[in-house]
Amino acid sequence: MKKSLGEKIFDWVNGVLLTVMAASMVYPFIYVLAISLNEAADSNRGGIFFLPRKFTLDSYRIVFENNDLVNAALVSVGRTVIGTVLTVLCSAMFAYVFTKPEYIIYKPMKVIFFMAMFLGGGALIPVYMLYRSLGLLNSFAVYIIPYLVNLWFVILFRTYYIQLPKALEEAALIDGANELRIFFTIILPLSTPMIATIALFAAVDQWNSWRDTLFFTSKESLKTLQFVMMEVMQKAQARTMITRAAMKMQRIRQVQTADPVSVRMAITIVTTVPIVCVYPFLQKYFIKGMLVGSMKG
Amino acid sequence: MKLEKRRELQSGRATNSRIWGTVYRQRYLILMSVPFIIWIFIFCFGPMYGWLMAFQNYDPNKGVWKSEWVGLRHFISFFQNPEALRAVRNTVAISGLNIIAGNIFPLVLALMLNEVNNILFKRTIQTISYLPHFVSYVVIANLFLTILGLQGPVNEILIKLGLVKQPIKFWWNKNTFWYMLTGVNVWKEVGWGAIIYLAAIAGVDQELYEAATVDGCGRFRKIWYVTIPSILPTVIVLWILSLGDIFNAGFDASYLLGNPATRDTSDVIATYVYRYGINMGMYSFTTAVSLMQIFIGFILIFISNTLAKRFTDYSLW
Repeated sequence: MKKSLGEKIFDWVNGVLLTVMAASMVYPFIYVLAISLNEAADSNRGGIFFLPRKFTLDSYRIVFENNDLVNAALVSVGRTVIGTVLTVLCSAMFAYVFTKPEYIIYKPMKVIFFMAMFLGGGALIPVYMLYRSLGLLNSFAVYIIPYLVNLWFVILFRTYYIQLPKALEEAALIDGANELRIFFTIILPLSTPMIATIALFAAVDQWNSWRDTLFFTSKESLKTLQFVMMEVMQKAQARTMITRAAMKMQRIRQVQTADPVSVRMAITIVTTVPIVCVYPFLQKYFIKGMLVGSMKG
Repeated sequence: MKLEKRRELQSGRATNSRIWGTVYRQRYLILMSVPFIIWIFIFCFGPMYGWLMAFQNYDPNKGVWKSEWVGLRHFISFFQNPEALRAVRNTVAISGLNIIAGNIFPLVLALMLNEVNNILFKRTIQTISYLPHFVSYVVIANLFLTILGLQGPVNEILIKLGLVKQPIKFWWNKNTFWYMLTGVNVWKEVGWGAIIYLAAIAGVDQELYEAATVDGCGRFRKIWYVTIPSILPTVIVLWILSLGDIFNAGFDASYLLGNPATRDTSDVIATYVYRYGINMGMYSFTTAVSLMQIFIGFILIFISNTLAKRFTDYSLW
């Protein structure tokens, strides 16, 4: 089929517009990367758009040799790993019970579930008071326990389970396996695509979360990478961090080659890289997951 | 008489034992669900107990039952507080703009992507467009404060081209803050939002396009007369349901991108509650504010759902 001139122009314009949009999404990251790899004193002269002019890794050195930041990274990784595993496991298990209409409290359970969907969460201060009375404030558990079950993930898992073939499960039941065992040996292994999707969602939520740190903790040792970055962004913290790092490394030069801005850029890159490395490979899973979810409301 | 009674007793015992039998048989299901139901009661319903604080002068030392009850005083003072009302105005404005732009741009992007024939190009664009959705708002704010900062590349280019003499203070202008924020949010979510529209477009009957081609329709006409009418039901449902969010502007955007110079337009209910609630300890008043927000949110969800039900056959419940 031959294309008319109009069609060709249409294709070109469309392609150019889409490219511009994609470029606008990538460019900020490139710029930040360039600044983070450039000597700070030199960056201040301007003129850097794509590539660093005077290459240096000093900003990253500061990031990785700063104890506060390393600790923050450990907290972030810790909550992401533990939180993701537990959320996926708990949500998947709870969802499995929702495929059993013969369960004696199935109906009340369903009512409770939907009430929780509409009423849950909400007001900040009551949540704060609740966490305080549970002793969750200023503890690592505040990053994990409130996220144990994600009602949204439960729905996603359930929609996935009910389209699984029933035969395997029934066979196992006849062989005398209990539901817990069936869940772990049959249902979970069969739902790897859904697990991948939800693990991605949960991990991204955990990794990106910073509000809970702001609201519910005040301890240095519980700060996450995102939170530290937020603090650095609001500048108060950055100066002292740099001078401390420079003194520790006994290199006065440092103060010239890295400054609050370049360190901020380096942290930005460090927090973004894990996500960039993961999400493109899970694309086909999360697209499916998102569609299933939106169909169900 | 006696016999009847005995029968009753027996059958009662029988149902009892049947129930316990079922419970015993389903003990693993109980094990797999009851902990989570308890969790729901604590973490989803537990905060509702704290709503009581809105009707008293809550004193953390006395607890909810012993604090002084003041009725609706906090709700009344809310309506007399210009700063709180300003936060309401900003919330509605910001979320309203977000809903409008956040619904139109993904649809446009989906329509544009659908017209791309080169699969590799389409995939690449899509993959890139999801990136901002997965990145935290802290990073996003950081990027935009940098790119559009006084010494950022945008200002540098504008100055070099001679378009402006002084760098533009993108983030320190309270008159443009709403629109800047909307721009950032669209940038962040446009690719993600397009997924669902693309799925709807993929479901359009291909014969319609063929018929349109036979009738001599060009690309624009096909989009206008075939694609858009076919996906209209999906679009309407999504748009109506998103109305429920109009009272819900995010904390992140305003907290991270706002500053004292823009507080007049950037302060939303969420940031207001945080500032006065957690930072300044006005627990009762801010709980009342949150409660109001939740209440209006309910009404809006109810209205939008009723609308969705009336105009389409789709609804949340």
